Amino acid sequence: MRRSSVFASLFFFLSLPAYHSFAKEDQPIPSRADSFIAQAVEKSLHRSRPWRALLHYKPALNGSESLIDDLLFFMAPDGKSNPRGELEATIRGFFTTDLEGEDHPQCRFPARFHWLDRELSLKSAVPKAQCLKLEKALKDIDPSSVSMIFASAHINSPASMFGHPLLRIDSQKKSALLAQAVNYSAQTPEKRGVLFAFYGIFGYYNGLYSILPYYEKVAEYNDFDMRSLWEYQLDINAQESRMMIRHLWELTDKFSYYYFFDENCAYIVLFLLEAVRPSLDLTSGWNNYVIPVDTFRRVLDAGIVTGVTYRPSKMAKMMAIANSMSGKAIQTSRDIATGKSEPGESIQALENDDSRKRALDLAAELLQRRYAEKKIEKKDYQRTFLATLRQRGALGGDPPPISPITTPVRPDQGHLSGSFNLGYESNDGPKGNRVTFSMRPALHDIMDPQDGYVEGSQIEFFSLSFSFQPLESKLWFERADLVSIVSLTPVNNLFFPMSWRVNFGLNRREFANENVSEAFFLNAGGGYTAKVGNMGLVYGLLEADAQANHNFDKGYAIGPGISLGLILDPVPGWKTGIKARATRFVLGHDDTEYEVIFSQRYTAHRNMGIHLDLKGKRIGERDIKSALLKLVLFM
Amino acid sequence: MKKLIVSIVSFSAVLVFASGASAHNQGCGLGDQVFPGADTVLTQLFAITTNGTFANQTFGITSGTSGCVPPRSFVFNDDLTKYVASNMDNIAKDMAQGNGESLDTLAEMMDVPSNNRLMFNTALQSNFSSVFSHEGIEAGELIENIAFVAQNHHVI
Repeated sequence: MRRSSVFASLFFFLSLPAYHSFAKEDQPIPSRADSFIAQAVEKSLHRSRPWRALLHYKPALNGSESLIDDLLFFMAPDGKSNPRGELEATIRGFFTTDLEGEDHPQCRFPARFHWLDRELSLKSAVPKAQCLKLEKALKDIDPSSVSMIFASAHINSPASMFGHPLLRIDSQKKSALLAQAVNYSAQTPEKRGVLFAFYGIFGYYNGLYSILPYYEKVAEYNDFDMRSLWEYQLDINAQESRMMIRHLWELTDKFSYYYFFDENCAYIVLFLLEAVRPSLDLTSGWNNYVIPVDTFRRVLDAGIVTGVTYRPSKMAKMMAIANSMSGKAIQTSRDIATGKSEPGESIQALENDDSRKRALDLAAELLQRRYAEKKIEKKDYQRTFLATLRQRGALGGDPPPISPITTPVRPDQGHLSGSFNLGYESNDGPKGNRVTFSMRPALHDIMDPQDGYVEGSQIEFFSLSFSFQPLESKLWFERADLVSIVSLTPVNNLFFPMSWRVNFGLNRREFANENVSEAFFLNAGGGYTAKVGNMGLVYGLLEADAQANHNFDKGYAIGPGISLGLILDPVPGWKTGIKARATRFVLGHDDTEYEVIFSQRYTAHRNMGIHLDLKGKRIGERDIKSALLKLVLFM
Repeated sequence: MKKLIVSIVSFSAVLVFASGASAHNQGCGLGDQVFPGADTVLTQLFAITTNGTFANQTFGITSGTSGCVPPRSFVFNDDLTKYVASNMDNIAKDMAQGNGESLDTLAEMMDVPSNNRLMFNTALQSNFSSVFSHEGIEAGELIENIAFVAQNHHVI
């Protein structure tokens, strides 16, 4: 078990001194505390769901273990793995007279206190502690319900298709911006890089909850990152929402080791919902990994979602303005934002007030963007931004009509995260005809139905393929893609993003000398993508390819390549891909390899499709043609 | 052990997840809501979903107005100052356009009665230049200017 890892034990010893400081708490009013403890044990409260949910206990090899790793979260020395001992120590702690105010266990563990009081009527028996800070927080937030927020993909970053979940505690106030966002995240001195990934996987970082006004999160995700937000309103009442604040209070500054794959932001947020409504079962039955969108599906299945709201990204808002403007007007906005012209003069050339308003509105957006991207100094930004808005204010009147923003398909309504394929390949090369099967745990192939995902994006992890030759009764390993990412982000009249791809893994491939063998490969490329009307995308990428196998002249092959392609989905359910690729190996091996693929996918149901690949390739002097027909299932 | 193996196998793969990491440097005026530079393609490759967050922000609700000078004339309200300081750019935009969520939220926080909201918006739009009187304006002064216009138009 990882949690009995070196890190954990090391931390345990380091924490012992801090721990002793409140070990004295169990002394006062022993008899009264004892009678309540006896009652609690009599009622088996330590085995009850509310207790287990509040302490984040999960079944473990020898009983139970809490997923919270911070020993300050527990009252008993062995509280992390002893629900009953923890219950006894907690009740005893509530009776203490040694501590006062915010330090009193009643103030440090208000959710436990609230629940135990309901079960045992503790309040009349314990010394009364003043928890002023908590009372102020409860009063200020004035919670009414809870929403679960999904920050969807970052444009041009397929990795973010995994999304990021937040909880939002909604208040009686009308404006959603004034709600409180609850975020669970790793405390990371490094922001990225290899160490970051390493620490993230092995639980080296501490995960902590934070609570911030929702407007901060909207600014961060919607405006700065340009990700749209999906707000799932939950059927959680005011009482339960107050309980959530009490529980978050207990969790403040209490860390858990952050495990990238399972004990991540998505999974941990589910505990908060269980803690306020113990009858919910959201945290059990997960595999080795938790994909954020799947937690939303789980919550939907639990039947507690009452509505879903879409909050479009800043990019969607900007496109809505730009799409209703002429090319000349867009250029005016751009000139204002880049300081080439003054807002007052330049808009006079536009035909009417509505187009002037739109030009100024877009200019203000572009300025904010340029400033966020640090392309403009603060002084210049302030000056131009205010000059633009002064003109806009002076135009007054109603807002100009702009193109409506269409709401995309909800992320939870996309195809499921895992995929299993079964097919038959006819191949005139040395591999011959085979039955093929492949699987991948996550997340999206560019040919998969796009609903709920980002157009032109692909991210796959640990995709594995095998094949079986029925005549010879042979099973072959075909291919393993550790990572495969494609980001084909079309350029438009506001943004000019680069498209890129990267994948690496192991591939059983044909060689010029007729051999078939497994080669390591690493392939990366960059280029541009454009929209083909509303039909799909066309792209071109320059690539670099590196492979290793003893069948290459020197055991490896490195060289530049180019790929051109089309991805079209003119009719719902039908998606066509055409791709041509040439790779010129110049180091380690001397050959040019060509490949042409035509792919057709028919999606019968969001979680089922039929896929055809027709492929031709040239390796050395050899041409190989193959046709693959497969059934694609998402699960 | 199984998890460990899964972890090791997947380690190489994980260089790729995306990050929500960002570090605010909150001030009190326009352009003070500073975010880090946008991700380049290369940095995205090495981003991750642990969503690093700003340190010392747990239970940010209980923290104050990040040192902004509160308004003098308008009834002092910590949350209002903090809101305006954090959202000044969007408030400015909404105000010039005459509507928007940031402006509605401001009206709610300033207790503008709902049947006066339209008038509140119009008054601020037509007085934009005097409300955002100078480029270095900070939250406290802005609230005073807004309150002044709103009171002149009898909407609060």
